[in-house]
Amino acid sequence: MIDFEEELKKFRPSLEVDEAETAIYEGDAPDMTDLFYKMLEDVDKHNLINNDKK
Amino acid sequence: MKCNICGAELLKSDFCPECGQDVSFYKKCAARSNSYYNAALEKAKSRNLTGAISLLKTSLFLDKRNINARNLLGLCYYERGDVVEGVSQWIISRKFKGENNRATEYVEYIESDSSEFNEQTAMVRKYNEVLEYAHNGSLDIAMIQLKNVVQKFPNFSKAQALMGLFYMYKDAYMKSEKALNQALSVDTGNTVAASLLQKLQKLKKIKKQPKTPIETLLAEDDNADERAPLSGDDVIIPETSHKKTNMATFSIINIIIGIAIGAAVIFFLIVPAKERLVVADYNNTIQDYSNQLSDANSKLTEANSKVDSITKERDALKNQVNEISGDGGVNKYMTTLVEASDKFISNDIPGTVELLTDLDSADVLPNDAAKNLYNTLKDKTYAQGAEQLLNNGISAYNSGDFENAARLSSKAYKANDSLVDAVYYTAKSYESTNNANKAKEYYRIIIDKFADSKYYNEATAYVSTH
Repeated sequence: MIDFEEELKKFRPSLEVDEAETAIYEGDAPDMTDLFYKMLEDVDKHNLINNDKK
Repeated sequence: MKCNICGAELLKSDFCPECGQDVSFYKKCAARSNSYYNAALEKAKSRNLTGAISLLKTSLFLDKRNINARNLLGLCYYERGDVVEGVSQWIISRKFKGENNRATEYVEYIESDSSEFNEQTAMVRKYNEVLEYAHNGSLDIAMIQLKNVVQKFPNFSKAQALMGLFYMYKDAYMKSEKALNQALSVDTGNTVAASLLQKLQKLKKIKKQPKTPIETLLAEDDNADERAPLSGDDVIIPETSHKKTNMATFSIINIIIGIAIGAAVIFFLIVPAKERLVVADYNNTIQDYSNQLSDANSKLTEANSKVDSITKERDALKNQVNEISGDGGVNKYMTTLVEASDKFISNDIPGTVELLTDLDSADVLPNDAAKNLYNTLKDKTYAQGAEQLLNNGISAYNSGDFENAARLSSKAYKANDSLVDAVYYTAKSYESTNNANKAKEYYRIIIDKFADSKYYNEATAYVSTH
């Protein structure tokens, strides 16, 4: 017998118009390259802080 | 390919010619992003939209400026009914590249004809409401609303899959299969719909297993419940062609029976009723004609009686006219009086008496002048004229002219009723003409009035013998 409640959980609300702005903002989220450069920046900052302490 | 930092066109070198940034990592990510895009494109061509979307998301994670991947992602979203997500991706794509970008055309197309997009977003909102209803247990309301959604927006793959789930829950397997197949025809990668369809096939196999008679009856009841809420988008599919043929045969038989019953009703009910109406109408018409005939007969009788009375009146008037103006009547008496006067002027006394005796009395004359004239002539002529008439009568008798003798003698007696000879010769004249009745009449006058005359015995003898 099919478990209706369980099956129903697989269905998610679809995006509505008033939520489009959020979707667009999220769509402009950082990609792999952004993250890589962000990591590099963080590493550089970390190195600078350690050098100052020394 | 452009630098992800300054936007300058990159060369084969791993460094940007403008900003000098190391772009080797970016180049590797962009290349990998493009590979995912190509794989997604193949998936999209085979209508596996969900699979394509998954690959495109990875592609964009590697390179968010991959315009082709973003445009295709929007298209896949839009096609399977996630219209807001699709348009959002196109808007982002247009931000990265405003010119020579297909996403710009898509957005402009939607902006130019927003009615279809508005209706689709309204259906999306309803779909979300349906989910809420379903989670809250209001399944019937959810089903009614979802039917409206899938009817107006059949490409909404998620809604079709949910419809399939609802029908499956209600044991309407045919409808469920149809909805799930519709969802998969839009998006073959709809894992929810595919999963439900697999479960549905298993359930159908279980249902097809032989049942006890009681289970069969219960199943029929369940199907009856299932058929109850029929709506416009329901499709009735015959189970086998054999039943279809039977139904057609039964339909023809039912039509023939219906025609026969109709004919019988017409023959036994409508026709007699019509006949009764016609007969009643006919009888009424005959009654009307009879009444009219009776009226006509009574009028004819009345007219005939009027004609009779008028005829009688006419005859009476004609008689009166004849009496006045004809040979008989008053005119005749006046003529006789005038002729008698003429005879008297000619000194023909017997002729005068003969004419005057035709008038019984002065009363038959119309006026006093005539009556006076009549009386004057009578006084002046009767005494003398009666005897002269008697003599003329005796002469006629003696000469054998018995008819003249009877007429002259009888007039002489009328002018002077003491003349027994006048009576006697009158009787003898009638006797001679074999007119016994008239003869006896005058002989009786002799017997009654002149018993002492010499003619008495002869008169008595004649009367007794005749």
